[in-house]
Amino acid sequence: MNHYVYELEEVDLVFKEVGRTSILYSHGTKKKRKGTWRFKALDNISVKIEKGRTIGLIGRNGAGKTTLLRVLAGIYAPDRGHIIVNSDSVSLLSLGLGFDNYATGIDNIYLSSLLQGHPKSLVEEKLDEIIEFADIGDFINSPVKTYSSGMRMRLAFSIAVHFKPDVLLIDEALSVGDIEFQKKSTNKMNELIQDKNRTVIIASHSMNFLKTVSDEIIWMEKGKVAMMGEPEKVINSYIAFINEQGKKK
Amino acid sequence: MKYRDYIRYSSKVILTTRYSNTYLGVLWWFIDPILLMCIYSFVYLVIFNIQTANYVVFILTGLIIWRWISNSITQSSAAISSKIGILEQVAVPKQVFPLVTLIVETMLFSMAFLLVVVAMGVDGVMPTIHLIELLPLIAATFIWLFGVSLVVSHYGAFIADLKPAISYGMRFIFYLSPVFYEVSRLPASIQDLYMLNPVAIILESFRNVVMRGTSPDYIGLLIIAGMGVLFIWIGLHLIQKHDKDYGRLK
Repeated sequence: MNHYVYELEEVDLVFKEVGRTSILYSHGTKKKRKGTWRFKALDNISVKIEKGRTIGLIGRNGAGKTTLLRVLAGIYAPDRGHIIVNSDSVSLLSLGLGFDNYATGIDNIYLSSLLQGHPKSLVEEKLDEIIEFADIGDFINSPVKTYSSGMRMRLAFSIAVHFKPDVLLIDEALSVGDIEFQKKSTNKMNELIQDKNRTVIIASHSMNFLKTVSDEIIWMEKGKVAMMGEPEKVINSYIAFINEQGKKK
Repeated sequence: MKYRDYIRYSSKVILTTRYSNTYLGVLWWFIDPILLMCIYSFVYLVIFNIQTANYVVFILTGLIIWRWISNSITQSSAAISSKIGILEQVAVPKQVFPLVTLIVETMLFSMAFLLVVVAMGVDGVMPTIHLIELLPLIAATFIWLFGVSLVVSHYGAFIADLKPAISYGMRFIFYLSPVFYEVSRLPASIQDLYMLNPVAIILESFRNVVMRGTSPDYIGLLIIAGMGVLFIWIGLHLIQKHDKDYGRLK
């Protein structure tokens, strides 16, 4: 058994503007054309992630944290480099996206869960638990378009945490809802993180939280891994770097 | 297939929510062809003063089948690209989305087809044993539509111009197909060429079965189903090859 859940080797990922891509060029040509917007979101990333670890992901907005999580979730394929994934139970938790506004909360629980590839019988089994945890009362039977943003997040969070994947990727979804729900969601999150068979990768701006839960921290800057290692050390370097940047301005 | 449950559930949800914010709800699906039938009847029967036997059954069959074909193809152009919120979150095989769109349109078509049955009663068209042949006819049309939808949904995600182009194209095909007029009105010299249009073959086959008491054009249907299988193969190939590209369209 390989004890790495992810092995990334020299991974690049480039975003291109699609609107101006002509039919003639749209199929994988490397040729650069004038005026086409390109952005290298991941630049030569090589990391190995061990099974069962909890990894914090830090960096400024636009540093590539979300893109990296999406590569790990199998949503994006690298343009260059290799990625080896040793798990078939990966789930990305990022909130607020993907709900059908006209469908009810219950229908959205089904839609989201079935899309993750869970069988309907499992969703039926978990349904009551998900509804109870989201705790949004009768709104669960109303279309999601009637929800407040906090209610949407509570529902999304509740769906995501009730199917316990081997690899859980979390994109800035920690402080959800009101104080009461935050407490509940942090507890739930800790419960998921503490399971030693589960690999968790969390992108967050909450340094104190990451310090307490992470085994290791990856700091990203402009699509590259700026530093990876012991949480305390990486976070201090990151904060020093941010302060330095602030002074320059 | 792992996503069978999603396909079934999602189709059900779309069917129940599509008209959920209108007063008349699902009735719109019936009102629409009836109103269109009135308009075309007026143009055809009153302005052009052309007499056609069983015009009500004739035009309703035409309009309802046309709607099935036209809506399925038009909507497939956005079937993948409109799901960007989902695609950025879950790694799911993208062919699921055009399939859901087509299933929804096919369900709506089946319900609206009840109108044809009612019209047959009103118009005094006697049902024959040939109605059983609706099954292979609907199956061949479905296969063809699925193939076309897959290919269109792939290119629709990459080329934004495809959506308006398709809606013009569909209007063009509408006039080139016997939706509200009879093939016999065309000059005999171009009728053979005209009947190369798959939509014309499908429409005429439906009318054979429903109101003429004869069989569909089986050779034509075989070719249509064959084309469908070819398109399905091409479409699945394209979609699988680009599976990880749809989510990052900017």
